[in-house]
Amino acid sequence: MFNRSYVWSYHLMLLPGIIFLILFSIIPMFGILIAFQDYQPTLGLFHSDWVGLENFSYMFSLPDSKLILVNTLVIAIMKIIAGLIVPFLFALLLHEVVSVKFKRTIQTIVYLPHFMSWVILSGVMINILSLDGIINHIIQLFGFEPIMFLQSNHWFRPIVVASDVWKEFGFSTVIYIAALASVNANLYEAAAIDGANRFGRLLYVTIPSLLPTVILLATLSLGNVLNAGFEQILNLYNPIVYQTGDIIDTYVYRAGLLETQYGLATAVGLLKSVVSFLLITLSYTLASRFANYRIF
Amino acid sequence: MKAKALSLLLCASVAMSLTACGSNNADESGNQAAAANSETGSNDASATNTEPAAKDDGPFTKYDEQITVSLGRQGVSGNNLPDGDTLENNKFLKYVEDRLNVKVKYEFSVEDMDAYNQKVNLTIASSTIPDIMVVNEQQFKRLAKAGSLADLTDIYEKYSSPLIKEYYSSYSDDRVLNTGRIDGKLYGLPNTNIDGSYQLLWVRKDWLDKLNLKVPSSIEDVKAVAKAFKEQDPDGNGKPDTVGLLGDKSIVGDGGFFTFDPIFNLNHSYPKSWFKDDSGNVVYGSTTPETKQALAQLSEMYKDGLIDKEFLTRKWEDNAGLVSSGRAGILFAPWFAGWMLSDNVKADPNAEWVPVAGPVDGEGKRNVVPSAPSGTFLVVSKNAEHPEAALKMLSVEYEGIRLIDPASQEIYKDKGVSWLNYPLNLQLDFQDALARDIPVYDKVLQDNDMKDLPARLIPRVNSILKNHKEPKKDIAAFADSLAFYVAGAVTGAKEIAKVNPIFYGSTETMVKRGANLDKLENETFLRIITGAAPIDDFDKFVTTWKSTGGDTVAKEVEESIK
Amino acid sequence: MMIRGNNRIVDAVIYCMLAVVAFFSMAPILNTLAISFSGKVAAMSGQVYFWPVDLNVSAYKQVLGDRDFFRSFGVSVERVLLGGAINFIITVLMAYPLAKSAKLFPGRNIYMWFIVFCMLFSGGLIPWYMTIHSLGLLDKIWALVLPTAVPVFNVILLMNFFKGIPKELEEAANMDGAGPWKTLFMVFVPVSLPALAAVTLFSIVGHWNAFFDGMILMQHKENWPLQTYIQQLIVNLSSIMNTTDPEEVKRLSNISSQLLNAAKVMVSMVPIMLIYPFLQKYFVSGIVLGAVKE
Repeated sequence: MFNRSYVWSYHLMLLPGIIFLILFSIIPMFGILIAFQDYQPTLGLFHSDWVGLENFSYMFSLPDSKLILVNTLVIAIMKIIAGLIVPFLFALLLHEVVSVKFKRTIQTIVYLPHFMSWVILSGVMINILSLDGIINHIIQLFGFEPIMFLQSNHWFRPIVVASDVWKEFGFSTVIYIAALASVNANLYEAAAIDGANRFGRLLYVTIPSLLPTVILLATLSLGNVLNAGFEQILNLYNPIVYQTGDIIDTYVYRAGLLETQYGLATAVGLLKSVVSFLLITLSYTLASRFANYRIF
Repeated sequence: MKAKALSLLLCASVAMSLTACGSNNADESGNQAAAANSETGSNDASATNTEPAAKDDGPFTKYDEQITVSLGRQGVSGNNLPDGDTLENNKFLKYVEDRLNVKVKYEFSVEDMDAYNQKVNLTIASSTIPDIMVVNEQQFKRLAKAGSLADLTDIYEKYSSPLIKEYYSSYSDDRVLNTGRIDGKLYGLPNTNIDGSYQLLWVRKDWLDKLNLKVPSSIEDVKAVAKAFKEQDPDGNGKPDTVGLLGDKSIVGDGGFFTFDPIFNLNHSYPKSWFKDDSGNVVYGSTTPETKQALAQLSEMYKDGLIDKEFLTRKWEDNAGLVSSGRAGILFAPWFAGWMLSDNVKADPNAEWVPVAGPVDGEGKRNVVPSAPSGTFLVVSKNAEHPEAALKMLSVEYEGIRLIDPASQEIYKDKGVSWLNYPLNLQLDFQDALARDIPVYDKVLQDNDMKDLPARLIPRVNSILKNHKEPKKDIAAFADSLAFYVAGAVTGAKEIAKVNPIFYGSTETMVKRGANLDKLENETFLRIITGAAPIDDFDKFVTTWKSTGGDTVAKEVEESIK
Repeated sequence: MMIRGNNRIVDAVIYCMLAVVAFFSMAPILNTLAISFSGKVAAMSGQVYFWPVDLNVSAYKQVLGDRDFFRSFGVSVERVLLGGAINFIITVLMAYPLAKSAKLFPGRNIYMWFIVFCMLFSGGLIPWYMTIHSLGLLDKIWALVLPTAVPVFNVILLMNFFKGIPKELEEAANMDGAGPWKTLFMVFVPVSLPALAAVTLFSIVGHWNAFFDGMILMQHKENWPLQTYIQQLIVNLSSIMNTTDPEEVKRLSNISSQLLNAAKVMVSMVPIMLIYPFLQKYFVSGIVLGAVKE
């Protein structure tokens, strides 16, 4: 029930966080104006020339902009989907394990790759995928021709997605495990009394209790639809796979554009933010209308 | 008489050893004054300076009251300072501070190149640049255009030591210093890129001997050696684990390791450089028919397995690993690859690497494009209170780096501390810094006499002598000897023929469209080499390159050289 | 506890699948570990897989003697403690009121969308840098913990967990005269331990792994957190290509040591490996809710 004095406490609780957000998030947003300027540091934000949407049109006039946009979207979407499904399935499997020790060991192990940077991991991967690496040894064992994975436009995207999942799934699993840990144990008892078998409990108790978390993570991950993983691709790609692997961030990086063209850099950032915001709002609306579930 | 001749030679060439030279040598007077000045550090010594006008104030004059200078620096990776000293607090720095009564305040110091550029860009963008920093060409131009830099024209004349001026004037037509000039005014002190950073052909001599092959000279020899090294088990371990010629995905590049420049150059092709053709038109080296020919050759070699199949995915350290573990025995790399190769010799004392000026073309020439004269610039903020301090610090610093001032010779003696721990990391040297010392080494080895050597050469000569007496015993000495002496000599070989480009640096469209054009070029070239695209894609590349900005760039280049 | 079927085959299959996945996850770490204990040449030749070649511990000796490494280690620990604490307090304080419906807390939706907006939009690196610069935070530990004080993702996560807590609990607390503050800390926090452990883990790990802000906001090497320091080490190798200074090239050729970097990466992972099992215990203790009989 509504209580006025409670509301004051609520405002007070939010106050410190809001202050920090204003200081470090809202104030720097004056910089968004740079996207519409030919920004010159010595002139500053208020005296640089206004150029309207020129930075945006330049962005789309680049000869490869279409290819790069497609690569970015394809890789990012594949990553989002795989990054949702794999941890979910893994958490379900882990949930079935009775031995606490085994459970904890596995959980610890799978999340370790999260702590290795792509600089290190890419070295390991190039090693494993090389002509005399383990994978090709196995392939040859079965009598197939060795494959140069990282020089193949056929293989590059799957490798990028798979290795990203490999690095991050253990970490996302943590959220599901925390969610599972909060499931009311009575529900399982009730299901057991109703005669549900193992599969039934999975279907009628475990999965439904995870669904809100899945929807939440799915929505939030839409914010990454234009982030295909700069560090990873930078460390794995080479000119032969530009066709399938060159993304917005790597292109802009190579161009050194961010160094010199502040307007363009800000425009790219703004475009990403707007797209993320639209997608998240859309999925928020859909979730609340059709699943009657409010994420925020 | 012999000793006299040698000392004269040293005076002329090294131009910084005071001990050996008579004062009647005209060439010496400037340096002597500098050195005398450094010893006393007082005002009256500067009376003998080359510029009498600067009676009370010159390169080495100490400030009466301490001044503070702020500095942005790229740090020293793997710094090896002893006793808890740091980049921001060490004896080299203190030496400069004490001689000039200057206090250096480091605004920032980061090691990685990208991180440093990031910092510089942030200070530029937020208008908070320190008094002094070293920037790249683009940053330099941007700063100058924005009017953020102090004009160094007069300051340079008055406050730089004769040695600094000599370094710059060793480059013909003032071509290094000119890169720091904009509209006739000096806004930045450029670094100097010394001669000789083109790729040599490095081969394992012990493998050649084992397989009864001669040291390669022509491209046919190179092919034969690469084939033999790959297929005939040169390491004799019974496993087909060796690779042919190493490669790098950057394809070509001045000073690059494992790049294919020599194969292009052999065909009279010079990718990424600008030339005039016979009819006087500006031509981009990557688009010539000769380049197509070289690509066809490379593609053939790749197909035949003479080039490492996986060079595209190998990083620098992967290739270095192939070398040190004895899986590669033929590669292109500059003279300073000597240090990298020494890892192999350390692991396998039988390994014998020889540098060759090759492969040579039909006329027996190894054509090379000389390095761009400079790449980085020391700039001083317009708001700096004492812009001249930059030049004074540089002058004092180089007396220390080159061990001209006896006091500086004692600092960190024999500790191998990097000179980068001096406050200003601007690299200056004579154009022929590498080749000019070779006769000195020859002489020392012949006479086994280290008398009359300038102090700065002693560590190197020690290494060379040590390795001469007991080859490969001390790997560090071996590496020094291989790089400075053996390979250094090859950089001056008679086969070397310089092909001077008409333009270095970048134009406006290059900055704007460069990423596209580079992508197009690298992608096409690598696809052709690895057989993913037919050689005729080259013609398509040329057309696209021209229409998507190449022609504009060519016009700008033509404009800029008028 | 729950009753389980005794379908052994299913169990066996599950165990095997998990073990295989775990092995693949371990691979890069085992590889790095093996490299860190190998000889230099073996490490560089790419012949080391999961077992050290030419076993030696020289890299670790060197790491343990590296002052910069330990100074950065200290900065990171400080950052994690300070940043983790700030994140925790802010997350709990923000998640609770936001978990209320708009009926109970008018203005809640405005706050919510404000936060989401802050999460998605930014003014770019330069204005951000200039703001922190003008607040005088550059080169101070506060620059690493204050701009990241509000972990929006964690707030949303915890808010959703709070929403799932039965209303009866809160109403009962209110009946007993507990106001929002007391309810939050005496009722909500104790029953949300798994979720709190998860968000705490995220914020600790986030602080531990972050290298970019250290690079941008810390002007001197002494103030770098560990990951910034490590990142620099590894990237350094490629700068060999960017110099023509003989002395510099010589020095770089000598320090190019994959195994040293591997050892540093391994040592840097140790604290997290120690903290994780400690937090983990809360993930399995999700029986608290079961204790409340409806």
